[in-house]
Amino acid sequence: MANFEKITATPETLVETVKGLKKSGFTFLEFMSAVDYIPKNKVEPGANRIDAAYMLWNPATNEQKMVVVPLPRDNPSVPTVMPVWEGANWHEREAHELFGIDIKGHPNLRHLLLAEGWNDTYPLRKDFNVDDVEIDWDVPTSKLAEGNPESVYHFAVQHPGAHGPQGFDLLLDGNKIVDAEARIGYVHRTLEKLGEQRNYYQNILNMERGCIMCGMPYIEVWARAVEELLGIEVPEKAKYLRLIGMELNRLASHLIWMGPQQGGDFAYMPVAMWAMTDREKVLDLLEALTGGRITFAYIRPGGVRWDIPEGFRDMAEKNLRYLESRLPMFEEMMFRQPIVKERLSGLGKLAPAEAIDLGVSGPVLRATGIAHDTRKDAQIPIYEDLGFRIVTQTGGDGWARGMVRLGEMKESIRLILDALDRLPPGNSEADLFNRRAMPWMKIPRGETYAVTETCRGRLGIHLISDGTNKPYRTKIRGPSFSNMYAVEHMLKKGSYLYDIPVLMGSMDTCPADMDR
Amino acid sequence: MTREIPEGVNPKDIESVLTWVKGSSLWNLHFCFGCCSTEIAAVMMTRFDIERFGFAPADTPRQADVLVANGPITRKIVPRIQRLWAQMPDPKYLVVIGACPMSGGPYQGSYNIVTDIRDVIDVEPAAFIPGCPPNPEGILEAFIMLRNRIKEGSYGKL
Repeated sequence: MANFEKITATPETLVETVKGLKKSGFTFLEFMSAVDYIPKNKVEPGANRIDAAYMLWNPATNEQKMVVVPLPRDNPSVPTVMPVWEGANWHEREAHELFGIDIKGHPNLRHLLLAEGWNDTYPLRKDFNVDDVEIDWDVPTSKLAEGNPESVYHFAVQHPGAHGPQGFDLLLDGNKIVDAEARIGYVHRTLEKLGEQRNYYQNILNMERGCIMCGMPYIEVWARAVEELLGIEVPEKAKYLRLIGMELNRLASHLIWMGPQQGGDFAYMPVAMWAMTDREKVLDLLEALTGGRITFAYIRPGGVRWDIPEGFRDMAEKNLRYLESRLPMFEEMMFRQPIVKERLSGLGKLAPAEAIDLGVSGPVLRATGIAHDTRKDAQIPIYEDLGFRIVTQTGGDGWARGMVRLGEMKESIRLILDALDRLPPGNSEADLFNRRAMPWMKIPRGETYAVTETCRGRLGIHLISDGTNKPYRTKIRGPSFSNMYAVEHMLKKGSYLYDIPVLMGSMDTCPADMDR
Repeated sequence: MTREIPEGVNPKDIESVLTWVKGSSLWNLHFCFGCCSTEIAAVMMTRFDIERFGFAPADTPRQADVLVANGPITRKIVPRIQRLWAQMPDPKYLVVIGACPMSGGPYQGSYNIVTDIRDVIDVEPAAFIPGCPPNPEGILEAFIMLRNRIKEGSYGKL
């Protein structure tokens, strides 16, 4: 019972199977992960195995297929699918460290999210005990650092040019990057394991912190996954309010990207300051609607927390029209400005096929000319009704990515105002839905995969319920995870040291989102 | 720009001068490792403008006076925080923003979270503003609290 098709394979047939699927149109590897079944589980009682899971997406038909490889719990091993998808690299490393699956033929199986010297305990296994964890702090930070202990350059963890605790170990020839290895995992808050420890109601709060700059889509997709398992339909009005919340959040996130991130990379402080000033106008709206500035807990399974406040329509009209009038100025100052344009053009250029191969999504993918936006592809409610238009560019470089985000801001403003105009009457929460009972509510056994478009790309939540009030497995596909891998890939192709901050800025990678 | 020397500061008493100076220009280390750093960014920008109180971000720990703990302390980041703290010259202060560094916040019970920053670096925070995240006014309050406590001489004596 799931909203996607499952195909079973064995380790021997895995590579052939995914190759065939890729040829038949499933060109996008969303994630590679696993599910651990111990004998006393309630999903399939008696099962004693680990299922390696490969979620594939067909962008043309918007179909999902999952290739499942059942493995023994002691000594599970699968071959790598990196020859088919370059972007599988980090997903397989993650499955290796969190589930203990041996990936045969993988070039680098060091820890990615966990501390480098973490011993052989696998946190996402069901019989994991936190007391068994021991960490050897003498292990070098990366394979590169291990091979070249004297000459490796650490662009991490505290670096003013890196946006948060993310960075690279680099091998340099003067200013030229010879080799690069990303270092992430410094804000790995284990949301997937916490998802199993908390009930569905508490998880609203946790999921939202998946990406702090863009939390609203995280809870929206979580709520939609739970609703799908429950089999309830939210009222029309709640769908509109969710859209308004998500698009406001997108505006806030894109403004912080344009300001302190991309503008700040150039030490271009006027843009940084003005974008943040205008962001406050959006945050005022979010505060009026939800009560929070950057964390909201507004959306929840069954609807939204409360109805639209009085006078919100006028406030939105005033603030958003003001923001709309500022956008041409930002375009002129930032993206048409000769120095900025020169710097961003050709920076981190991605070809369309390469982008799909790496699994990148969001504005980065759309900047290569591929018109895929999950809001349209996955038919997220209401977007179609409001005539949502996908913004694309063809350059595939830093400048194109910026223009996509700028275009999305314009589109978001239009969507919010249109949604407010057409806001239907009625309840903002589903009938017969007792929110007080939510913490004890038992969710029917089942499996689902819900996707949405955050400010950074395609976000998916794979949810397995075992019939209790806590999920059995929550897999989060954070868009920045694959996007950050693309940054590492670009740096390896031949970049310069001074490209890193600007490149990371233009990819808009969020450490919280990639580490989860 | 000239400025009058406030009451209680005696130019012949170096201790009182130092206390006054220390509290007037506090630079915090630019080290974002958590959600609350988004709100700290907002505090630094125009609407709240923390710079009018003498606070500014410092890019390197060698120039920083304040370590702002602004997010969950994961096991992987622990040695990095310890090293950054050791690199900061005295006098140095710890300000805790948000629930995570003092209790684990919403991530309590996770296998990768250290729930108390005092287990990581051996210092009592000068100010702690709970919240997830606290609003910018609260963050501003924490910094002003730190400044006042230094100026009163009740915290951070060399």
